[in-house]
Amino acid sequence: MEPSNDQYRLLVETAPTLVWRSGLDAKCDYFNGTWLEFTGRTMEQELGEGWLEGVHPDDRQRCLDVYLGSFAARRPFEMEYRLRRHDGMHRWISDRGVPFHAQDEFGGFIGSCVDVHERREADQARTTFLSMLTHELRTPLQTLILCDQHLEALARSARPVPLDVAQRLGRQVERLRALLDRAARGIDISRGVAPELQLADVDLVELVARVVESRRQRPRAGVALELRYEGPTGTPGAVCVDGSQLVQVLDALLDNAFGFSPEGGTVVVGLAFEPATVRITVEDEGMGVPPMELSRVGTPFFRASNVSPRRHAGLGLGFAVAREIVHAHGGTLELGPRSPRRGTSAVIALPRSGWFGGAAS
Amino acid sequence: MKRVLLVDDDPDVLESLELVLSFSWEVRTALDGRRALAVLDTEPVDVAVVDLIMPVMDGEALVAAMRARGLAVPVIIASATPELAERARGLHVFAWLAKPFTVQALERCLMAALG
Repeated sequence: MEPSNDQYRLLVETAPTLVWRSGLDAKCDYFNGTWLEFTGRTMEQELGEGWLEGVHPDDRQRCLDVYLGSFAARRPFEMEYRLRRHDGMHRWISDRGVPFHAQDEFGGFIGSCVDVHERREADQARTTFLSMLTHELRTPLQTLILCDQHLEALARSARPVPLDVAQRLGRQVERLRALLDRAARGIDISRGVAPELQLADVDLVELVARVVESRRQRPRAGVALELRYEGPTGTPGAVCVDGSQLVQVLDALLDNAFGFSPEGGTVVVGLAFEPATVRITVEDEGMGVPPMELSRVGTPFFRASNVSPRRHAGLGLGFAVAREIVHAHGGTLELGPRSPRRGTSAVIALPRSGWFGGAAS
Repeated sequence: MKRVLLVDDDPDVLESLELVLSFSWEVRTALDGRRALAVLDTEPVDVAVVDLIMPVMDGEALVAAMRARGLAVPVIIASATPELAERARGLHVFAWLAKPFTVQALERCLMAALG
């Protein structure tokens, strides 16, 4: 038995896709319930060309050109544009429109749209990641090429190799190794593979002091910053952790804190022992993460929208890797605004003993 | 000896460039755009080699600041981000040098910039 008109109508009204229809004048004369729910607007507001108000201003002209061009040619179209959702957020949607006919006469267009925002963002993140990865690879390669040519010139004239040139070469090899390790960890996270831990009793006071001191030895190029430690100094604070991975976590958080700090800013590393938890904090005075994006920091390859790729190179992996390591310890790593002052606060909370989320078994 | 200003936020790249050029050039270095402007305020240079992605003041902002000060120093953009080449073209700099480059490619570019 063929479905009745009522059944078709019910199907269109409740479908997960956003459906629209236009008449012979190319103006829209129908939107389904899913569309109206998505945009949070009334049918009256959307009718005619009202729906265009919800299209992102940067996409509006292109959207209209594709639609009217296809309408004039009576040819199907498929396009992606950003449409404002009821909460004000512009989401990427894919819109497919086809001409329809009633009694063999062209009657207008009917279209259906799906939300493809996550896919678009993943595509963007992948492009950004590949761009940053090649940038990060080219930089040490540049030093290697220059040093190599310099060494060759020295060898030809039988002059000795200065120690600093050899050391610089070694540093580039180490940079490339660390870069590949980090990228590999990012791929592991994307595949849901948890890091393996080598647990031992580690003196956290000593470990944090060591990381802070090592960072003081290699300040960020071009920017004067103060690095301060706030916490116990003499008392041993042994906790069962993977020491070398925890160093990686702190290094990643300090990379971010230093990378985004303004000139003359202060970065504070804090350590506090509570009855059941050890808390390590890294606070900076940088621009912070937009509140809407906080939940997405930690997604591999994600970079906040206020990070200018022209000032900050990076893979968008440091925090994601750090969080995975802390989670494998049965702990948490949260990022939030630093209050009451400007900046970001990263807080690691590790259990002082006992459960390790299965990672230790 | 002609004077070249090298601007790059990577100390290893900067020192290596200085090393290979110091035989035939008087080299000045800066780790970001703002420090480069400070150098330019104190002495004239014949040519500048400028990285694009840098903290504090990036290469694009540096070139704009140089133009605003009326400095007619030829600029060679040396960048590891080819995606920015199109943008850099709008800066009307003397040349774009994609990293990684060889010493010979850099020297050819420097000589051409001096005319």
